[in-house]
Amino acid sequence: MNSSQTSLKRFFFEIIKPHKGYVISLFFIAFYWGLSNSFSPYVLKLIIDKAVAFSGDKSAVFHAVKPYVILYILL
Amino acid sequence: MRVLDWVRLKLFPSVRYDLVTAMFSYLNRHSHHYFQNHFAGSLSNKISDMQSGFITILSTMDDTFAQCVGLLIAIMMMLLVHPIFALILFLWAAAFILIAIYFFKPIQQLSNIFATSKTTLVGKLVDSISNMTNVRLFSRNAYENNLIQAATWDTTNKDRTMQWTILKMRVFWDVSIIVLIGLNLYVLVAMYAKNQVSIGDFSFIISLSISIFFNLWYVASQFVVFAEELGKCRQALTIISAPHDIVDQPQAKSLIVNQGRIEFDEVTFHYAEGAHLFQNKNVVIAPDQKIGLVGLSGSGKTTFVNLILRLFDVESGKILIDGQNIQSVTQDSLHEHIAMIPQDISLFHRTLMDNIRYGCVHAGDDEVIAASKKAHCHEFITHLTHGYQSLVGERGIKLSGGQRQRIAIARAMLKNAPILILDEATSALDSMTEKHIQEGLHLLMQGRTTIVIAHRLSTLSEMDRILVFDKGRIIEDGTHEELIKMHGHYACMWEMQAGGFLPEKM
Repeated sequence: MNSSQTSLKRFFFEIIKPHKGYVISLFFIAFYWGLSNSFSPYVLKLIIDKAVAFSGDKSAVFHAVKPYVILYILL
Repeated sequence: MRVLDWVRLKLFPSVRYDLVTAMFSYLNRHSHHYFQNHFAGSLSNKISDMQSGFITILSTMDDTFAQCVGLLIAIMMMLLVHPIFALILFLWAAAFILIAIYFFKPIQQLSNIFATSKTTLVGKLVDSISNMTNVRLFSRNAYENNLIQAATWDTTNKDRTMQWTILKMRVFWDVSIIVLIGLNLYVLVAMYAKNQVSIGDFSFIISLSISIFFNLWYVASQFVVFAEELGKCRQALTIISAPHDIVDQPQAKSLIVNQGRIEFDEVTFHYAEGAHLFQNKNVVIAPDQKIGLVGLSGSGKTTFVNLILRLFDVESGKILIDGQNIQSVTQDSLHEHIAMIPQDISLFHRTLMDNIRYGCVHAGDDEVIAASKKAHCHEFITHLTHGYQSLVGERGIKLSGGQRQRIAIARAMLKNAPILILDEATSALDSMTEKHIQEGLHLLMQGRTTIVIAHRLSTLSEMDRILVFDKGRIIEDGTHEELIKMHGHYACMWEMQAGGFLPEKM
């Protein structure tokens, strides 16, 4: 570790450098989390819109929204 | 989320390990002077702060990144529904960030001030607690309470100032979030009345707004912790941003001691705070010679040995051991070849066995016990309930001064270094124990260059040579008999001492 002008930023990078795989994973998970967090309300909107617009037999409504429900659960 | 927990489980403990080891290994290469000027409690507090602060900062950066991604995706999703919602969210996000930027610098500055004040408080607490015997003996409980109260009050005020600024920022954030949800609701209702949005859109916009509200509220609370931890980390970083005063030269070799000849060649030195102590000093100590250093307090005896140990660097000139300049050899190798028994002996809060074995970490129990017997500490150790496994308390507080000295002597005996320095090594011993130990010490001195500092002149009578110090100068040099015959300073001290100790003034 070089002493003279050690900045906090440089020190942080030096410390996390050996663990960059885990740090990248951490940020990748954060990316996925941010994505799913905003995308899932949109899928919910699609489910509601499909259900409201469904004009056939009410018992068949689940089949109409099934792909969106699966997507919502997967997210 | 469990995957995230798994990654954190793998990452955070390893980062903590790296941080502590990196900081401690840098810290313990700081000079003697550095440790004289920094509180031990505050230094350990800084290492601890860096560990917790680093993890918090990393977590907050990760959370903030997730929120930023979420916000961007949300703006894009809202564009699909209606651009007006995307615009509202974008403007709100810009306002939120501007508020954060506006308050970040003052919070960070206040956080640095708070962290400095907290470190000072911890240092004062440790100083006071480690001197509790003095506090009791001088009946200064109230005085110490006042000192600590004043330091605590200062820290509390700085904390309040910082918290007040944080509170102001949070109020602005809260208002912005209320405006966001209110505006979204108003626009939704107005557009729903005109059949421009569906029920699904309604649900989407409201649920997304609430989700963003909760997530950003969490990030906002983390942001405050982030600013605090950043301040602490900056403080902690001073440990490693301070350059080492004394460093090994890039091509430094290991010291090789064959004879143990020590030479001061035109050495000039003074402490940062004081006038010149040594000016062009020239001294040669022959191999295996036993040298006594005598002089009043502050005459330069301890500085003389501190320079040999390279606890301080000389201003000019050089100190040679067997012809090798001590500035050209590694500090580790230099210290490996010198055994020192200091005036103020400090022991680790470890077992007696570990403390003695510190002289030679590879020594077996038998060797430790043999050294203890020579140093006359085996007797009292075996009378302790746990014997060699007894813990000695912080800095060895559970032992008497004489017992600590005997442990230090045993440790030095085990080290078996070619150069031996005794700085008032037997001053805390009673006459009987001292007599016994002197025999052991004489054995230890055989075949080694030895420097002995003593106020009790009788302990120096068998030295090969005695150097009399006065204000950094060597004013007399000779054997005990020669110096007595000279009727100079030493003879005067010898007479005044009358078998006792040196006077404070002459």
